[in-house]
Amino acid sequence: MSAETVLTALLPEVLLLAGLLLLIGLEIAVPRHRGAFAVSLLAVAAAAAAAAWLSAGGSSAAPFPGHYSVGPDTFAAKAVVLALAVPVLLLARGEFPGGPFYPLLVSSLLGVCLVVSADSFLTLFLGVELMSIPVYVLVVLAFQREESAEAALKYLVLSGTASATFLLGVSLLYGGSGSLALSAFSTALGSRDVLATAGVVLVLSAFFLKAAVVPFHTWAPDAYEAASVPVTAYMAAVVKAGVLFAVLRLFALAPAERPLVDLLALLPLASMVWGNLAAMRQDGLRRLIAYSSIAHAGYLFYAFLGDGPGRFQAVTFYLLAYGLMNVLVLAALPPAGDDVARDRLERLKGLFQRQPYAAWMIAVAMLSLAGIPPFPGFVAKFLVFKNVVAAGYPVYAVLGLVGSYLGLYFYLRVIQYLFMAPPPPAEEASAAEGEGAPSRLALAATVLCLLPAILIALFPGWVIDRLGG
Amino acid sequence: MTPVVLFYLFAGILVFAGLMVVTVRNPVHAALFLVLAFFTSAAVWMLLEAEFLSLALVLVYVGAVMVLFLFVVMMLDVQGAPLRQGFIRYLPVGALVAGVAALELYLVVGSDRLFGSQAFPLPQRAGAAYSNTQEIGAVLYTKYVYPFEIAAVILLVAIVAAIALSLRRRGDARSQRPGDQVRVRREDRVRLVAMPAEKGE
Repeated sequence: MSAETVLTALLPEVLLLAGLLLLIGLEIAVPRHRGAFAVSLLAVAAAAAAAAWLSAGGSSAAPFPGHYSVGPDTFAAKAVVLALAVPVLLLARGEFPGGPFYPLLVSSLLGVCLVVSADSFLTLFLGVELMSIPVYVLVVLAFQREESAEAALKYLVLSGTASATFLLGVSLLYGGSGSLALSAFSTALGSRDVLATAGVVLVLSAFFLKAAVVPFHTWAPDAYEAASVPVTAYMAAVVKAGVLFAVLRLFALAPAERPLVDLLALLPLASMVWGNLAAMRQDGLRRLIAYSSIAHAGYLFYAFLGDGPGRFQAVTFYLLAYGLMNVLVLAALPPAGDDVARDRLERLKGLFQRQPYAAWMIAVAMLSLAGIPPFPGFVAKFLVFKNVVAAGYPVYAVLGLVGSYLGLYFYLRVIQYLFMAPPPPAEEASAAEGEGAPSRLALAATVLCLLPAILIALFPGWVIDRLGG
Repeated sequence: MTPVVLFYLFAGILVFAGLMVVTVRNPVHAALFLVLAFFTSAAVWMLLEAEFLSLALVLVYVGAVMVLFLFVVMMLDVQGAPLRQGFIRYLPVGALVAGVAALELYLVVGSDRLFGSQAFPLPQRAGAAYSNTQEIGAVLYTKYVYPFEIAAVILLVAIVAAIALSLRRRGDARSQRPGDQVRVRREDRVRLVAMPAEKGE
């Protein structure tokens, strides 16, 4: 295989790696962090464009057979993830003028790209680690509160536990099959062997933890709240996407078999119900997003009940719609002097009178996350539940729909705050005074989220076809 | 001595050292017991005919990582006493969890069907001419070259992450800029003020 083929197949990764090395060089050579934002934005946007172009061209290759392979669908997945990172970078400009934020973010994206293309447990593990290690640090980077350090440590320890669980599961699968290929997982799905099943369950629970599915979700609200706004957006949109793509890679086209189906349905179901119920009680926006993301992890894992071919489309479409809307909420959130004050839900009261554009953006995102028909979130949920019904699990589909209706309450409560509640009383006014108009880059980020959202709301079929599968 | 006797000897020392790591009061002693644990596992690996990995474990972990670890422990000057608070209070719950875990382990491992010697027959012994190092090198840079490269990137990112965590520029920190100091001119520092002379009394 010629070097050109290898480089073409690895183009998004090569661009990201070049950006990463350039960023580290810049940090050393250039004083006052000049250019870090521009370089990282350029690298991520170029990688996204390259992935989209290669996906449209339908190229596929296996530059490292058995470890790494690419096809149109993996390029589409990479394009989605990298495109989601662009508005996150725009948001970060105000909070992080330079410094370690940009190299860490770019390296985490590199990890996501590796996960998407992984063919062996080894590459998958390394990719997941490369994706998560920078995020532990990103959470604590905008260190403003004591709780941030605690939350980051919690995230680090629990995520480390997930990695150890994953490795234990992989060692059982390796012991059974003698191969590190990811196909060992899909083969073990249908196996009656106790060790193979144990391996599958361990690997699955590791990813449940990384995606914050209910019994393993406790790190998420703390970590989302502790992180600064762009990092929360990154975790909710991109890291979650990376974890789900890893699971997609593991399952490949294999159907979920009987004893495992119940695990794959019940924990996500618990996740939807608990995430939606707990979100009702939150008074901070980032904790609300965290619980909402726990519920959405439930819907996403529901997609694995469906048949193999439809699964990739359903999950990728869902991640796109959900990621765009999450970033949109956090991008439209008006800035404030104090990080804690910015986060408070109370501050959104009467926002429509003060900043109609921001209020409309948050409202659109909330309605979409709730899955109300004209918005993209509806199509995404529809695809997932349609596949679940088609695979012959109508009971689980109905239970899931009931669980998702619980979420309406808190999404609509935010909208009520925005449009119908009176502006905050005098004591709150001091907090509202620090509220400035969103920066131009934040506005650009909202537009970058809104335009694709309109596109996928108007032409869902066209987008689904582009996502391959 | 047969390998079996050696194995049980090493395994016994390993378990003892592992226990001591988590029970001794002094963190430096704990680190030293960790060294013993690494060394003994290297001996066990040697018995498994993984000579290269065994020596790498000694060189890298015992030689480099643990020395670094000891430096850090000494620098941080960790006091053992506060860590032990509530030891008695949590003992019953801890003992219960440990008991249940041990029982579960016995139920799974105790049955010969899953982990017994029938399930895992001994591998073929390699001959004297077989080179472990060569075999690892042959696959590491061919079949596993890409994961190897990714691991290198992870190490790079770990360095960046560690620096990001520890390097916090304080807003009120003052530092010298030698360049500015050399470039300074007389006019920047000294201002001559013309003052009328005063008459003394």
